[in-house]
Amino acid sequence: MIRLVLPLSGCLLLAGCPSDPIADPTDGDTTTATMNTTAGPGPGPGPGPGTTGDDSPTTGESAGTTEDGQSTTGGSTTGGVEEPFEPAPGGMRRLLRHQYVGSIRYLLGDAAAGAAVPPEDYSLHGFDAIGAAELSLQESAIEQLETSSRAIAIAAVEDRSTLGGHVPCVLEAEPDDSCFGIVAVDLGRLAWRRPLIGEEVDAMVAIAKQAREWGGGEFATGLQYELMALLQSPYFVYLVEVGKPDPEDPATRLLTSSELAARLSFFLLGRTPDAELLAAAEADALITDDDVRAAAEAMIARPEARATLSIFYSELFQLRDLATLNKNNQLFPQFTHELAYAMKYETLRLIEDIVWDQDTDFRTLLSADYTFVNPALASLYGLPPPRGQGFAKVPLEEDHGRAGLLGQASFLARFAHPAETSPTRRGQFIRTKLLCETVPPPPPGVDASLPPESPNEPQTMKQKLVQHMEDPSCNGCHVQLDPLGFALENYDPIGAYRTLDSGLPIDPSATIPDLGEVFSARDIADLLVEDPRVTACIVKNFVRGALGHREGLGEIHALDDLEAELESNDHRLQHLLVELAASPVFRAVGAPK
Amino acid sequence: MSNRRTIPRRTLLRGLLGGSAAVVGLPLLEAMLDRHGEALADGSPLPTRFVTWFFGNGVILPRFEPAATGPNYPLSDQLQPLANVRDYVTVLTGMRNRCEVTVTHHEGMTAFNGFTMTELSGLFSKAGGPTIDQLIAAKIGQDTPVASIHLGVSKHLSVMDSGTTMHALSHKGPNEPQYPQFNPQQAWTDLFGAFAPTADDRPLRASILDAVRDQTAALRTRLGKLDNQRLDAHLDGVSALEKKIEATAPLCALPDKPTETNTDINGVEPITAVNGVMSDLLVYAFQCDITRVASMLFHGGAAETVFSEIDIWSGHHNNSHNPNSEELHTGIVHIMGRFADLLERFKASVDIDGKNLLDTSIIYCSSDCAEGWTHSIQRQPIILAGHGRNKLIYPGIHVQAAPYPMSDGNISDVLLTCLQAFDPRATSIGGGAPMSTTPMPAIMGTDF
Repeated sequence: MIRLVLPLSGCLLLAGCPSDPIADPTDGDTTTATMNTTAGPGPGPGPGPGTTGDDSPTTGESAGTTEDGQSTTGGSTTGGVEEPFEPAPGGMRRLLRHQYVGSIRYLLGDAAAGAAVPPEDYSLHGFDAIGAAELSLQESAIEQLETSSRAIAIAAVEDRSTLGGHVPCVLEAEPDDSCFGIVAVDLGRLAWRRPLIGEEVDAMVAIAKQAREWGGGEFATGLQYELMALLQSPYFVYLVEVGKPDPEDPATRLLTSSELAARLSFFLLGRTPDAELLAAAEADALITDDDVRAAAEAMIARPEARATLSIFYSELFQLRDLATLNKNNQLFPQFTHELAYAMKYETLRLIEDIVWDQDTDFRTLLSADYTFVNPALASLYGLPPPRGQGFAKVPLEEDHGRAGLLGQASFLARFAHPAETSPTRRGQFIRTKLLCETVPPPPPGVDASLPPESPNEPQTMKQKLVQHMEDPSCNGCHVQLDPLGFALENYDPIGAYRTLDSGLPIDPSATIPDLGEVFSARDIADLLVEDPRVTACIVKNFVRGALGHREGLGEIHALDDLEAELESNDHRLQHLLVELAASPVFRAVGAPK
Repeated sequence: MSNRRTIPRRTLLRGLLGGSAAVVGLPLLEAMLDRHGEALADGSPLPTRFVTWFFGNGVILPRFEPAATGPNYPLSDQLQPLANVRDYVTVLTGMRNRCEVTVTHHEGMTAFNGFTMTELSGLFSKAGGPTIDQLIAAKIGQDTPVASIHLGVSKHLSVMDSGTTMHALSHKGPNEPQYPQFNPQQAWTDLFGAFAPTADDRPLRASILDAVRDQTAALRTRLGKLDNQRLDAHLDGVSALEKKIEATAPLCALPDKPTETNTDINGVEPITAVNGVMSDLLVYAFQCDITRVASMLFHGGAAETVFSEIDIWSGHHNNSHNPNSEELHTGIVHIMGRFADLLERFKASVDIDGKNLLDTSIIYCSSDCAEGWTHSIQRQPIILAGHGRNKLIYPGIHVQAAPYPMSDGNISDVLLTCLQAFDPRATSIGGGAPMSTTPMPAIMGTDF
């Protein structure tokens, strides 16, 4: 929806893709930006005053539209108007399910976390975090918050060992009512990520006392309802990030120390900040860039950081869908829940190896000539089985042209139909998730029917789609998508290697307009690794996933800086995580949305 | 605190006097009626129910549309599953969905609200305004413990599309999608769980919700307009929960919690089974007057669902790229069969006053396009079932707005007619080009 005439570098990748002439550029005024983005936050419910958004090709304004990828040449977005830094609006974001559960685990222990049943997450623009920043909870979700808080509280009262670590008085034989006050102050501070004011403490204690009385004087009953009250509070359920004016630059709002501590902890550890971090924040020890870097570095050394990054990638690569993916079990009887789980694990294990074990170039995720397989996956890939039943690191079969993620079954199976491959969907994944581009919708009135199949003249998937692409109304977009998938046609709908499709030999050759000629996953990976858009895109994806908004124009330079940081530090993700935490996009907010 | 009426106390007393316990078996019948059986015990009119029912990716028009119009229209191939309830079914063809933009599939959802989508971006959009079920729930939802319930059957939604428009059938606004519940056990909990006997801690729960209200009020001042709207929705949820907490247990026996959890086994999604259980829960909820409004997302827009349960292993969406696909036709007949399953359960069920649920309900059914391979919203099919106490025409008719393949009129006229059946003072529905101010006399019943 953006029409910007910014002299941004980087070509309009999908400029040749026919735009939707029906979409009225004024219709989405919520994300329409003008040049004057310094005038303050945008009026609409969009993610801020102009996103660099993935949406420009829908405007029908090819000249001068921005496109993701524009800022990919390492910060050379100069030559015209300098966009002043303008952070995304402040406001409130609902805790994601994993953040809610992670917080309960830290506050109240494993049993309580196991009992937690928070409301569902719903994604917008590919990220639950964006949904959590924009969407309202529905009535059934409010009831779910109560149900969840009750189940948690019952479990936490039963096993108080973790709670007792935060609030020792709950472990006493016969605690008196004063312990309710201590719970409100000490646990409340951790759960609400800030000190409670006196009135708030009183309200919690009143509920606890009322419940104790109702429960025949039992402390446990009072404690249960006090915990329920703390956990149903909007101060637990929502992250409130409104900041305060920067003393050095009152036009800018910086997150308060407590808000920053919470944002850091939820981003890197997936849970509420611990007592030490909150204490540091409250003691003004989380002020300078180096303070923040030090805190972030300490966090990423913790095991929860690995789990949190796995959740990020499960969402980005849609690995979490594998658990409910269906395949034609007549054609693919080997596709079981166990195999689907192994596919997901393979990808996460490779990420862990690259990011944590080796702390190396994140693009190895695309180019790796090795992977991790268990016997079932080895069989799928035609590799010798590893010893034992577990996963082992193995070199890939060179002849199959696999490399990294694009050669892995998690991707190949996820982006395929139950009985057929889908070059279009595989291509769309690469465009949207690895290059951060948006694919516009088909033009109106287009007939999407594929040529009829004659049983006497079988066609390969590629032949069918190539014919489809001859239609000029389809070609503009599909030429960006389908050829990427053509080069992956040697991998069947569950990711096994094949040389025939419908009994005909597969020709995996393809020409990608902006990349070049490719024949395999390895070829695509080699080109992507050299492509600066991939680095720009991972930065954007972390902003979207961590902060719950699509990057705005006023953030472009800060993102360029992050991209440059990543480039000059061997493309190591650990470095990006720390630098993102210290970046102004992470630490400043605009006026509340 | 809510002072909204649920099951009135007087009704409860009659229930107690009529039997030894407040809980009686279905049907409720006279326990909730006044002495003449023509109104509820507190004098309010007999309840009418409303359901939206959605299926993805359209039909094959030449095999779907009846060959003749008017009453006694012949059922087409794809409408054949509705044979046992045909009297209660009105089919509208040739109507135009006047949505102003096209994304493919998203614009079809305008048939449920009369608004063009908003925040468009690629294959992303949000609903442009409230859907009809929410307008009706706003009118009649206060009379029941649950204002409206949102159910779904097939879990496999489109991965290509994003935003709220297609992933929820019901919306209160662009940022207030009412997402469907796909797990029958959880749907049971949403409808009936509050009435399962537990220790009565209602005063404590109310105290906690009071605290939540106070905290929310304090939070408001620090946030902007959009987040305040979200806090309003949060408070609406708190009010709804309070209402449930205060509601007297219904006079009917609660149905057993279903064992069905909507889990795929060996790649087979249990669509028929889940649809059956969800339909039963809805029947029960209506008979018990737990709610009067529901939405049912049978399967998502663009129809990613695979009907492997009837041995069709290519996805329904995929099949729709070939208009001559027999798998596509079979899939559509299967969908209509599941819709018929719901309608037959309604017809076989007795409402409070002895009428069947099709006599007392209006079910509005449509899709996200007319035909999947063009994504066209011209000639988008509409099925109305039930006459809602003679608010809509009975027996049902086939209305053709324009001869095939043309289209004319405005689908929102059908929406407005349905809305006026519940809210006679409503003068319009939707906004912009798809807005309607003109209900359709052709489908009005004798008591409209």
